[in-house]
Amino acid sequence: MDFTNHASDLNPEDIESITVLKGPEAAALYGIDAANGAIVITTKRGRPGTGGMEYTNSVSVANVRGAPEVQTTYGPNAESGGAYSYFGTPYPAGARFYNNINGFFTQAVSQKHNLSFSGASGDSRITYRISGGVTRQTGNIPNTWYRRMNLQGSSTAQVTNWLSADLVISYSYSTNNQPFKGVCATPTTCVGGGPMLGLLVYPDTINARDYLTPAGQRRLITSLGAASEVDNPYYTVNKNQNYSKGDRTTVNLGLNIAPVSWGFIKLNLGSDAYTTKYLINRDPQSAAGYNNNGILDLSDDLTRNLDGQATFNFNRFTLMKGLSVSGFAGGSMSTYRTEDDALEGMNYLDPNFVSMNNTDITKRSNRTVVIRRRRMSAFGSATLSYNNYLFVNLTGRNDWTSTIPRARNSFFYPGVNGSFVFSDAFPFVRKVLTSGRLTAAFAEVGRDASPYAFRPSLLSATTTGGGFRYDFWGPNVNLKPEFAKSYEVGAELGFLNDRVGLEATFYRKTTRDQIVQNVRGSYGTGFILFNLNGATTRNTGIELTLRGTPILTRDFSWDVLANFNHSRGTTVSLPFGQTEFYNSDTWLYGNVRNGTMPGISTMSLTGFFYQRVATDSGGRKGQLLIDPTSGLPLRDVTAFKDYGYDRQPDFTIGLTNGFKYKNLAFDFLLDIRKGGDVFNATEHWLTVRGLAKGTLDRETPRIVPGILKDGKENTPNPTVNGIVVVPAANTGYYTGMSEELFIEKNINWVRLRDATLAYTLPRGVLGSKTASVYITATDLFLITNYTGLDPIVNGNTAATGGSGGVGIDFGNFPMPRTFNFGVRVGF
Amino acid sequence: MTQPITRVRRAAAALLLAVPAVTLPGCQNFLDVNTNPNTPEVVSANLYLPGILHWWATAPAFDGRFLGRYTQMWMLPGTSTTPSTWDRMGYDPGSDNGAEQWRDVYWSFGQNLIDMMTKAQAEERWDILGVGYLMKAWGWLVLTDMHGPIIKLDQVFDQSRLTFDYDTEDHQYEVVLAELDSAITFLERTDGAVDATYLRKGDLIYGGDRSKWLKAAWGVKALALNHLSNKGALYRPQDVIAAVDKSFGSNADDALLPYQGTNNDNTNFYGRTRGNLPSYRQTYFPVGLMDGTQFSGAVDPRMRRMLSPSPDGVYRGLDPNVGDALTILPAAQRPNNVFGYPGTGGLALPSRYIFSDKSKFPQMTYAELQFVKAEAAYRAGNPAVALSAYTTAIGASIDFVNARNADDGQSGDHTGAPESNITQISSAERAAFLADTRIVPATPAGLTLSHIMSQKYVALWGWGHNEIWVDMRRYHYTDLDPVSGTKVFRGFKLPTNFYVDNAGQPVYRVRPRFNSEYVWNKPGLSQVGALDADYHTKPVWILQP
Repeated sequence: MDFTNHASDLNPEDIESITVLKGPEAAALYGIDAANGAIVITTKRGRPGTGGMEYTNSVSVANVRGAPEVQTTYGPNAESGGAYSYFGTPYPAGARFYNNINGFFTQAVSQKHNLSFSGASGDSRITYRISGGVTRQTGNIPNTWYRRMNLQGSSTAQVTNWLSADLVISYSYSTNNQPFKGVCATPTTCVGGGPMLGLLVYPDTINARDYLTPAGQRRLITSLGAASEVDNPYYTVNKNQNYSKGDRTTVNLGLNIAPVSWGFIKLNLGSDAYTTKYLINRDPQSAAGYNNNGILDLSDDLTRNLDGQATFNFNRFTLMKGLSVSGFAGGSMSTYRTEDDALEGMNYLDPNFVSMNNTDITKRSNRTVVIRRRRMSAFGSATLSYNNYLFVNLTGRNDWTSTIPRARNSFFYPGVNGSFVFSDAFPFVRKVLTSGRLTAAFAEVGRDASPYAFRPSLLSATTTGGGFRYDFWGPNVNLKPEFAKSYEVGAELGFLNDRVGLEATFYRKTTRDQIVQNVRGSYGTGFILFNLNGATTRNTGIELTLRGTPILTRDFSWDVLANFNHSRGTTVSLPFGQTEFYNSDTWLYGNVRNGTMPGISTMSLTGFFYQRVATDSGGRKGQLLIDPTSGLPLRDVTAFKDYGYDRQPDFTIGLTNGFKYKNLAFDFLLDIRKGGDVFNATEHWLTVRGLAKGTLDRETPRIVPGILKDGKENTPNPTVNGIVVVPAANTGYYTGMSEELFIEKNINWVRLRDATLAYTLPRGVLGSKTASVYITATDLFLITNYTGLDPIVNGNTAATGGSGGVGIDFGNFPMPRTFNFGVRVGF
Repeated sequence: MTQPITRVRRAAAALLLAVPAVTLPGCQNFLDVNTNPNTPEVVSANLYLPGILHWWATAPAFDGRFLGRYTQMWMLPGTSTTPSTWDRMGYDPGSDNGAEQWRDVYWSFGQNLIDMMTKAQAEERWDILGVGYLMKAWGWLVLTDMHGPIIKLDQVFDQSRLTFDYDTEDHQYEVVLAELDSAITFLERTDGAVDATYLRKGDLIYGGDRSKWLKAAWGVKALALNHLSNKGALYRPQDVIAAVDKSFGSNADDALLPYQGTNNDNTNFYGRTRGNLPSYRQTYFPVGLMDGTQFSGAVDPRMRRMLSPSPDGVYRGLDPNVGDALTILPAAQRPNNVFGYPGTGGLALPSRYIFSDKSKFPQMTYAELQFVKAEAAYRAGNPAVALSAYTTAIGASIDFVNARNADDGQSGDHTGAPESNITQISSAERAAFLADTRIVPATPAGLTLSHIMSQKYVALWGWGHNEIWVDMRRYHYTDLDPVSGTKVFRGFKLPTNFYVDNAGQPVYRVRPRFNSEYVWNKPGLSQVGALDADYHTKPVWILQP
């Protein structure tokens, strides 16, 4: 299931600027949640001297760039795992094909309107801004849409000459009707998933749009029965539902108090409260809901997060000639609370009425979950500057958290960073460089655990007689915070009057005592899962940014920005000498999962791969071992192994070009990547069912290259496989294929992410003060060696944590190509 | 007028800075919100009990799907001519199949049982403590009988360990017997806070009746002592008989778990709604014992109330050596499923015997214990006692079958579902069967082990998987009765095509649970040879002299 990310509640029209803080330095300011970096979004305020009204409008149209291809030569032969397999005889010559796959996707249209008023009082002591916006969007999948309404008011006021205030209140209301996301329990069963896989496997000789019988019932096309047959994709998007709606109100108040001339106090209070209602309907006739005659899940989620921070800032104070110091010290408190009431009902009385009142009263069950977390911290920072070209900054922060046992719930972490503008210190450098700066940083940051992670609690049992029983997780009263140490060195150079700039950063970050959730062990402990400290991971990387303005004249300019990134993450060790750790949420498909082992990448894939010759004698190391009775390769099912599959790219490059000619501006962003493996699980699934285009040559006899496992495989004279298989007759060739063959290695891509053409209209058009129009194209083209739809996939969502489902393509929807037309007018 | 303003400023600043100073002492209280508000961390002792008792009765049913194929109570026919792994006395590699009791003893019982017993001890609730010891002992007994060596009993439940060593089976049996004695001692006590009302709250099996739990403890002890029948001097049949005499006195003492059938987890695992058995079919072996083939033509009245006929009315059992034994028969000859319907039918329809959604599922019965007494008395050289116990046992089993067919409306006239028309066994049928000398020999001298063990099999068919598999292994599946020369288990045939890793040997143990031990505790397994491909064919300790 996929749910809305609450970052989408923000109205982009209200954003003034976005700052990305990448390293642990962010934690010094923002605490534990910023341990891996922070994105700081500053919203717009009214500005003195301006005033007026602005209207923006944007309409966009998106079409999918492609759809998966299946073979339409051979017809269905058998039913298994919810749908047909396509190992049958070829379709007759005049067979009519309905082109179901391409015909399924609709054009997605979205429109946004935004109106804002802003201004300032005559003496500029008070500024204000009010903005309201509406977004309405439909998706490429039929019956999916998203709507949002935003309202924001912000005001700054200089109350007295020592007190100023800044207040922002935002409200958003959104509704989201999403499709189910397509996953299968095993490669052979796909019941209850989203529309995508059902679409692929639907016979093209039957019109998929005909999803209801004349009597209005679900139309079944196999003899498997309603509970076992995969839903027709139109059926599932129209009858099953994943719907959510939410209200969110955020309030931020900032006070700036300057009681003395050498410093000022900054006080920030923030409240983020949202209520979201979720509804998941599994229709009584759909595969997921049939056995229970319909399942309705409702959930009310109330979240209220409060944050408060107070800092005392010391103005710059000169210690001696050339040397000055400034800094701040402060503390913060935060309290987060979520309360979730969930209700499930089954056995609908009326099959088409979606309401909890329509479910069987004896088949309702509910659950309430409350989660709370509180933190406090004290922090300080001091910056020494020498002659304005050498800066050293020291930070220290101590956090107290509610989620670690009391004995260890307080932890301190320091940081130091320095920057040296050597072009100012050594003016002779200016002959070559316009400006030059070296930076170095070291920071440490600690992180806490999830709430309730170290003491087991009892669940209400649903077995006979009720009662209570322990959940899967065992205790860990020794849980302690994890720490990361990071080093970074960098340089920033400017050339040719700053027409060209180069920035380079190298970083290395080691996290130790990493809290690993859901570690498994022998049941002899009395529990199945533990949350343990003990993993160590290391991330290193290089980032280079080259910017330049090759052409700069009065009327025309050309700016280039290229950003190169290369990073690697390695698992150094796992808790208690474990040999493999995997995230079970990413075990989406078959016998491959996001597993990592000591010494290999954090983005690797482990699986039950083929057996291969181990010894080097006979010169055939690494070749496949073949089963002498079938002529097909054998799979190693003793343990999940690492065969070097790694989803981490070698490097990525972002290339932005911006052209300006008088009032016309054209920008485009290219996203380039080299290396990194992607697991094309969709193609494996299609192959197992005989639907992949790669199975068209099934009548061609072939020999699988490899060595027979007849006892002689490790001798100097192994038996080379000579058994001929005809896959059309021996379908085990396809159905037994290891997923390994579908992990596509070294995937590269060049994609045009974004291209925008904007024109600023002359002043006075329509009585406006400012006016501009623009056209943007997103995901315009993709050049890649990946055979699937789009390698930029994630089998899960960002909520999975860790390296998640990135690079696992199973039932993912194709990426759309979008064209966006917009107008901005200010009065 | 700068001075007053400065004072105001400073006052405001001081106030604002004072705020954190006041709250700091309350800091730790503010942070003390990590006690899970959604569920308790400790509850009263009797609230741990229902879950434990549920798994006491249900876990054997989970594993019975697989053990029942070792003992040929049923088989799982498919579309391939090769039978399933379990039908060939093998196992499913990389799977937890057949190791549910491992999971339930270590986790479902596990810390829940420890907490319950600790609380009971502190509160002097000797009845709950006694039940706790009984469950603990039963757990180690069943795991030892099934798997052989298990996790060292002095290392288990130590949460600072992630791998464990294995114990020796003789030590495991010592602990089992000692804990059974503790259970008995505590269940005999009526002092302290012993309270039937309190116990009833968590006890769906005996409703809080301490005296019945005491009998159950003696029953488990009798079973445990009888398992040592191959161990020469360690086997003391007189102790077995004495234990049986202190255990169940009638069918009213049977340990039955009544499934409530309101949600998936409290519905009978063997019922049609949970859908675990629709593809299974009875084999030739139980059919042969009941249709007269193995008892000189005496047809058992229980057959029509336990087994299922084919649509043509004939009672047949499939051959486990033929993987597609069901589909090769013409439709009219295919045996119906255990619920009594052809194919996978039976959903929301009346069922039969112990296969109904709200059945009272048996854990241990009076008939079972009387058979144990009969076997022990026979081995002790006391055929008169043996014959009397044997006769009582068969009669009790007939009553048991009648009672099970009345739990959830199984017996009766079901118009619209004629496949399920079962009637109760009448007292005339019962008397006639017990008087039939082909079943119950006229004199004690005529009684043989093959009578006792084959009739015990019939009485435990479908539910007594742990016990029957121990019995069959004690007699090496096909041992001959020394007196009559017939097989102890009349008509039983080992599979002709054993699973590939068996090296032609029958199965004698189940490998410990894959996702607990083979993934995470390989060092422990290697100590006892459990990593060998044919580990499952090695006889366990109780079977070796």
